[in-house]
Amino acid sequence: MWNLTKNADRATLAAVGAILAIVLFLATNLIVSLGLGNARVDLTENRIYTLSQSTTDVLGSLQEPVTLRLYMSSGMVEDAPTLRVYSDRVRQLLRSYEQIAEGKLRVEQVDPIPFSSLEDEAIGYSLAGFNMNRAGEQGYFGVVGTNSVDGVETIPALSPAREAYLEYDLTRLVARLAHPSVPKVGIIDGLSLMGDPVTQRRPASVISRIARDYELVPIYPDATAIPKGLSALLVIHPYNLTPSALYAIDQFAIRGGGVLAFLDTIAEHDVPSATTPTSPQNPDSNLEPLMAAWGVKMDSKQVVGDISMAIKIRGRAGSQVVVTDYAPWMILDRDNLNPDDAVTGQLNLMRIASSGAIAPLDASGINFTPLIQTTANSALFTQAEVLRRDSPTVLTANYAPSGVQQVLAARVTGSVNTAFPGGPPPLPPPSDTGEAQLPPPELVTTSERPLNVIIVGDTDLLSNDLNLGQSGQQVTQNSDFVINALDSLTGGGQLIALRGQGISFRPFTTVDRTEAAANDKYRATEDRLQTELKETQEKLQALLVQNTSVDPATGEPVLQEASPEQQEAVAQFNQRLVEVRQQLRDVRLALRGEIEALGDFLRLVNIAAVPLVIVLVGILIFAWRRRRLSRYLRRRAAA
Amino acid sequence: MRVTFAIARRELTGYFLTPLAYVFLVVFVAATGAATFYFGQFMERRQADLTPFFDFHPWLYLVFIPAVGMRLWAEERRQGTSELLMTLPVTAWQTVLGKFTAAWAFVAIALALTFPIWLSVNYLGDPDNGVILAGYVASLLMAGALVAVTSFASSLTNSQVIAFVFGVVASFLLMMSGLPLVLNLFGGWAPPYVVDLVASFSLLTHFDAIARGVLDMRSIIFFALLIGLFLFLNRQVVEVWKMS
Repeated sequence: MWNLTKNADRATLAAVGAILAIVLFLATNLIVSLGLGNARVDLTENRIYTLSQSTTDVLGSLQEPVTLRLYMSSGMVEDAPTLRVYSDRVRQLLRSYEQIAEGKLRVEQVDPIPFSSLEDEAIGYSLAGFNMNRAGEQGYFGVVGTNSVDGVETIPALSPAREAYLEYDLTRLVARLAHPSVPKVGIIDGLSLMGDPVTQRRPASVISRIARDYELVPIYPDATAIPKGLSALLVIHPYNLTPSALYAIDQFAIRGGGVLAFLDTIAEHDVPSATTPTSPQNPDSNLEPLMAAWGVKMDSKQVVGDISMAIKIRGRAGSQVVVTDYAPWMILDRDNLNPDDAVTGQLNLMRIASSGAIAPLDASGINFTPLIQTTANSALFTQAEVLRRDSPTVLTANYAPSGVQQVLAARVTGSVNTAFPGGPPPLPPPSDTGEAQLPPPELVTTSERPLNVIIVGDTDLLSNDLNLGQSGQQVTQNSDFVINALDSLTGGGQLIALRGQGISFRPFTTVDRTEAAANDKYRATEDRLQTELKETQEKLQALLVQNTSVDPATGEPVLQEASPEQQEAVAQFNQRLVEVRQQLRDVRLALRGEIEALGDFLRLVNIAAVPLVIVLVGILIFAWRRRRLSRYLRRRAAA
Repeated sequence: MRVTFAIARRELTGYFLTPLAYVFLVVFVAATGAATFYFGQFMERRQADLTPFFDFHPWLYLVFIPAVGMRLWAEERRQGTSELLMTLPVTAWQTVLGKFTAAWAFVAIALALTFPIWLSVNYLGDPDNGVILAGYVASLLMAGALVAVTSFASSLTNSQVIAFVFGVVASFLLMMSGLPLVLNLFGGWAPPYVVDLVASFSLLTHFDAIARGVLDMRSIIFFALLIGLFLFLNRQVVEVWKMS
């Protein structure tokens, strides 16, 4: 009986121990999650989970106190696991901001319960409301920042889809509160990207993004002077600038004003021409004579293509629909973007469509820094041949890599002379609207301050098509490029380092190269076969015409009886057509086959290779052990 | 310490004496590979990262680790070899730790045998290898946690099958504790900080926190504490047997 009691006691003790352990576990977890805050080791290559130097700089340079208030509806966040996890990250980040700012930044968190005064506040700050439940109550998850001078900046909705930009969005908000004065940028908008209140067309997303950091001052193509107080000029598709306007820009630049110019050889997003709706009305633009004075040139009738950077589009080849590389429309990755320039150094994904090539003029003495370049597989097409809108396979068929890299965007600095040595051009008569024309600026003949210009050979990269994905979210870094360029030209470069981290693009470069090589290999064969196909069809056609004459009585075409030789020839031609078409199909199949072979090989290696080895090793081990066992038994039997 | 290592080594070599270990390894590696390429669309994504690989680990572990862990204790109780173990001059702790270490090492070996995928992704492009390293750490820690849980489950019963089922259910609950499925059980009556606490146990949340590329101390400590807790509970149960 004594044993039983002892056992019972020990069992109870064990149970108590277990319960204590569980409680200890819970408590420790609570303490750890509260206390350990941000202790972490960031293993990512770009340190995307560590606060960047930009943030530390901005927070460190705060002079006046800034308050960040997080409006977070607990009802909305608790119900969605991704939001809950994301809200942890947001709160953690805000806590670390508070720590670094050492008193200059205060972080608050409030729960805007439905119908409370906090919800009224949230609505007042235009935070985005989301339906939380069937009752239609709204939930909020946004940040409102305020400073000591009634400045207000908000992030209306913190979305997990934009997690990569979280640090950027928050730091930018703080930076704007710290430096409320907004630089002014003049915009000459040749593509109507600013939108149109009359037709209710909204501005392009790039413009909206620029407008968040800069005040955009519209300037018209017939302007006679640049208004005072502008930090930079944004010139988009300047196909119709008057000489006075060009003079104004020339003088702005020669005084060191920043100019970001987007030119084009085919502005796909210009309004369609009335006569040929597949072509833009004003396909090309350039900034001559300023370009010549700046020591650069762009041939506005030549379109750059690069087959190794091309995106795939659908087209027709004869009667078939094929997917083929369209060289003028390109995806740019790290290899094409200058890693040493602040504007492109952090970027890794952009898209461009039908760009011109920018090149320095010989012996120009200016500093020409390429920002965006193609590979050596580039080729130049004429504007006419691209505008013909042939099947994309036509451009691909005759593709001949030039071996030269083309520059699609460049930074130009140095000392230049004016393009108007004779002074301002004569002013046009004042317009009927009676608006006063600004007097043209006084002539300055040589750079007062170094030229501060960035020229880009494509305007389509500003369109929503090349910026946004299907649900309207940012999918390329085109807008980052634009803002970085403006920052760089206006001298406000604090946030550039953060902007590039948003999108991480790591393509299968090996597959891309294999595809490009396979394409090259089969293109020659495909060309030959296509030519033969065409010739055979033409010969057939000729025969048909030969045998057709006009009936004098009715005026109708009549097909004469073909001679046996002719019938033989027709049969042969038809046979040949079938053969060639089959060969073409084989070539295309072989091309795809090469690419799929790589995938199949990798599948095999990863799924079957190691298991096979394990099985072999297993068999070997068992065989060895059986030999040992049988040898041992034999020895025992012999003894 | 030395005793624990001795026990661990004995257990581990014991695994490889039966075909079972080889079957496990083969099926695990093949399943991981297949999941990555077919469900994870690894080739079609054309992105040089191992997200489609690591995303499936928790779900594969849910089935494989209880299968490894179920035999840790249930087998011994059934076969009666526990008598032998209990009369040896080793403490319960040493046995528990030894068996746990062996099982965890076995899963680690299985994980290491998936190395071809790392070679493949580096051949195909230029991935962020720091993130991949973090993924392997997260996977190893999650495996450790699940081994501890299933080891405990196995100690509660004679039957391997019951141990397997307990193991799967417990692992599933722990992984899912961040989802409404589990939280709603608590949401109605428990105060918010309890609900928060339960949500913070989610193995998946902590796994994701590390696998994205950061050795987040909170998550690492969470896994360590969880392993510690279940090993301790395991020991308590083993102690109770010893007496009977």
